[in-house]
Amino acid sequence: MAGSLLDPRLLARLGTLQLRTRSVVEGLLSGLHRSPHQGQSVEFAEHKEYAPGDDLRRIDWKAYGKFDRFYVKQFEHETNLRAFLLLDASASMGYRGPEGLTKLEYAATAAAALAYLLVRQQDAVGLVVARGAEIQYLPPRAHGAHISAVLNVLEGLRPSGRTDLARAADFVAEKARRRAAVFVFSDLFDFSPGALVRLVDLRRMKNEVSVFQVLDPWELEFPFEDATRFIGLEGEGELEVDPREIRASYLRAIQTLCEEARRLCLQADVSYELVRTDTPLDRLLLGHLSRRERSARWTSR
Amino acid sequence: MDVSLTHPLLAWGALLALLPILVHLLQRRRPRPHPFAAMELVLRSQRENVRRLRLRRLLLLLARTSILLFVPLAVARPYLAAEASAVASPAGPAATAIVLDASLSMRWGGGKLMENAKQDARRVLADLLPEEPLSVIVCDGRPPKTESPSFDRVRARRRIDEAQASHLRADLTACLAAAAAALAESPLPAKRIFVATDLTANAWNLDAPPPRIPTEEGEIQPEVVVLDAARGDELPNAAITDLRIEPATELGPRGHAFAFTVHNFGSEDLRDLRVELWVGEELVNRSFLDVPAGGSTSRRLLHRFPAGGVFSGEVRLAPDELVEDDARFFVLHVAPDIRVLIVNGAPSPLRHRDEAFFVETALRAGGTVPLSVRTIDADGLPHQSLDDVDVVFLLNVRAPDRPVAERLERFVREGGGLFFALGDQVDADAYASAFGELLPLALHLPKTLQATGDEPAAARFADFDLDHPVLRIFHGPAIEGLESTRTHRYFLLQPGEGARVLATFDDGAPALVERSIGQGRVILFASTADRDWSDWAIQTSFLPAMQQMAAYLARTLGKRDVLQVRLGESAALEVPEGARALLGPDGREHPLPVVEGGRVTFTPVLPGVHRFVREGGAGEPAFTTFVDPVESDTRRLDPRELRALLGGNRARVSVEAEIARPRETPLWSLLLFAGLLAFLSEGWLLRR
Repeated sequence: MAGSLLDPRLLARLGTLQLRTRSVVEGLLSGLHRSPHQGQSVEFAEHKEYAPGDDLRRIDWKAYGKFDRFYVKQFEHETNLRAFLLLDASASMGYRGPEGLTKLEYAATAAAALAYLLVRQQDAVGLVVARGAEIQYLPPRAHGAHISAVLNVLEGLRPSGRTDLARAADFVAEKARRRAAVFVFSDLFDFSPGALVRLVDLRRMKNEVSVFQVLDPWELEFPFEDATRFIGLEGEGELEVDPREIRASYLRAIQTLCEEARRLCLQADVSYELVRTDTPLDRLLLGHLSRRERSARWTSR
Repeated sequence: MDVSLTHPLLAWGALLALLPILVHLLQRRRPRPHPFAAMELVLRSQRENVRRLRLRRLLLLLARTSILLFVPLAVARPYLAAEASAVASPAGPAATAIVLDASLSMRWGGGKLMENAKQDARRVLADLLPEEPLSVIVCDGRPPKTESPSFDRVRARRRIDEAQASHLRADLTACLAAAAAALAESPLPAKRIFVATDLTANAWNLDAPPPRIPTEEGEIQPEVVVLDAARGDELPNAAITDLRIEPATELGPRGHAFAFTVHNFGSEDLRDLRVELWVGEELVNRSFLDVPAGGSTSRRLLHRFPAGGVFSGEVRLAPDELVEDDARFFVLHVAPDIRVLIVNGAPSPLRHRDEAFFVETALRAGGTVPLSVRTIDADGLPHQSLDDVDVVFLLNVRAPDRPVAERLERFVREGGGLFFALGDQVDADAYASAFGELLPLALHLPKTLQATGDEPAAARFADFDLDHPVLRIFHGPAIEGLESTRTHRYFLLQPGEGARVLATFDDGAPALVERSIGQGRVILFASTADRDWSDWAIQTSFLPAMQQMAAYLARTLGKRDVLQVRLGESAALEVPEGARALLGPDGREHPLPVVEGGRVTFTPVLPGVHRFVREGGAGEPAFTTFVDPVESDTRRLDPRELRALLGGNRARVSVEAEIARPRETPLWSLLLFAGLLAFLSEGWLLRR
């Protein structure tokens, strides 16, 4: 019952990100019964003189016959990916409805799981945390120890500052000098003109961009009944209003925001996914990975 | 129009309407804080909807308040109280007639009743349907003017506005019949008659059947609605219903008694009711009466006029609500002193044998005619001036010389009066020679009646002209005083013209003849004025007859009787020479038609003194008028009795309670509907 175990409401009860990530990844791996990496071929890269500990199966016996020395074949993966996990940690990402994870916790958990999976398949994973004007950066690494560093950063995230997607996009564009995969986790609550355009422009630089718009169900459904004094998390001020009076208008606005993001992403060939924080993470990641695999096959053809 | 509540206490529930306002205010103070990420979208939504939201909030508040206001108010069962419409509501349009009582009694309360009646009539007019024709009949005592029902509302309104209560007695039964006749001209099958009246019983003929209207389908009975202008109130009234003016001999000459009767038509006794006698502008006598409820009291007020002349005045009650019948006007001719010269043709030291004794005694006896009597012998006549004499009595006087006779003739032609009594001193031929045409009829021969057996021969008076002013007082039993006179010798008179025979002897010979000569008058008695030839001098009729003759010959007799006319009746007037119009009590002149014989008929409509108008101003009084005492009877009919009179179920009498009772238009259903509407609106607003 991996699905139920990966319910965000249950994950929220797990104390640390590491535990949450492990739960997600284990569930995810059991779900990946047929790995998307199956059939993935490797190419010979070079010979390396045998050293104790090397896999005996990889000793090149022909080279031994020729040079009388033990050499081990080294192979290079065909898809040697550099991935950037861009995480929006602005104050708005700290919102949570009456239960479950905050958007930031949810995004961090998803990002950590994704990082784990990527590193596991020898991909280099970098982390960009955008928190207002402040950007925290871990360059891409593929070794296993790197995952700990990523988790540590994600573990210590605290939401603050205003959302500045343009700045974060510029930062990623600068770091990803060659083709890379960029995974963006954000609520996209950056209403400055052109912010989202700058983000999807990463695609023009041959990057493979996936946008996860993370929203709380209460943001999507606006189920407030009583008179409420809304307090902006990013310093927008306060407003006393009867939520029922503006619900229809608000729902139209949030729908327009999501549709606009989807439209921009589709236009720029950017993968877009609206993520509710009550969506089980395995379903999210499996779905995304499956779509990505199908997309890769379609492209390779 | 007023709004009233059937259950006023339940209306306190309307305070619930304050709840939404209180809730609104309380909610405003306690919003729940909630940090929110998509604040920008919330702000946008709020900005986008701020006007609509305000309006919606206001409408919601209004709807909720309305619900909580209207429902408790509806439970309190409010109704709109408007004055009841006078109009009944028959099925379909009806030809309508309004009979407006404008009789004298409608002047009760200073015109208040008339105003109420006109107001009722206007309400009827206002409530009529456009397709209902109307006829307005003003019932003011004159023959009702009937008009076919028409749709000319302006004209109808004008007729109502211009209607004034008259001083006449009105017959509402006749006016109702006139209304029914008018309605018969309308093709509409439904008919109805409104009668705006004070319900006084005198206006109705209680024996008449209910009004009926002939139609093609036979006679129908119209709906009759009687609108009570008195609003159910009693109409107490006191009135002078009779006035007679009589000589008051106890006061001497020119003394008069004004005998009047006061009726109390109210339900309470009247105490110390003040009655005054006014002559001209002077209050000359007064009295205080007690008049029982529903009864009457008669009293006399006395007054002696200091001199002769024409006097007008009134007997006046303390004014009440109907002032028109509180006064009765009169015009009285009070005779001046009549200066009488008796010429004694056969004086005697024995008074009872003196020719002038009985006449002088009769004229000096006093009474209603003020007389100043002087007696001379026939020898003194040539030396006697006639300038200060009104009437000359020639009693058995030998025919005078021609100059004396001519002086007497001139005296008569200039207005003097002359009385001849004959006797043995009179010679027919000498009289004819001396007096000529001055004699009403020429003398012929004296006739002496022969005695038969024990019974002495005597002639009696017969064939009296009781219409003559001199003999008018002998109507009834008083005539016996004349009939018992016995005359055994008298002059036969020659036939002639121009003389009026007042009485004859029973053999047909003229006994008393009269003739006007010039402006004067002459009366001749064919026998003696003492007891020589006749015993008239000792009969009871002699004294008043002599006084009457003196007054008649002095042209003062009969002037006392100024015509008194009851309003509504016509007066036959003898128009004096030179009179061209009548001046009414209101100062308006009414032209008199030129007629042969000097008599016209006039129908007065106002109470008071009417005078003839000559060139140069108002002249002598023509007659006085008084209101019909029947109209003073303001006792009202019982509405049930009136309903029965007018046809039972087809009749309706709107008395005060009905008129004043508001017409109730229930509002609770409207309020409930409004509450329901507010409730649905609230739901609709909430869904938006």
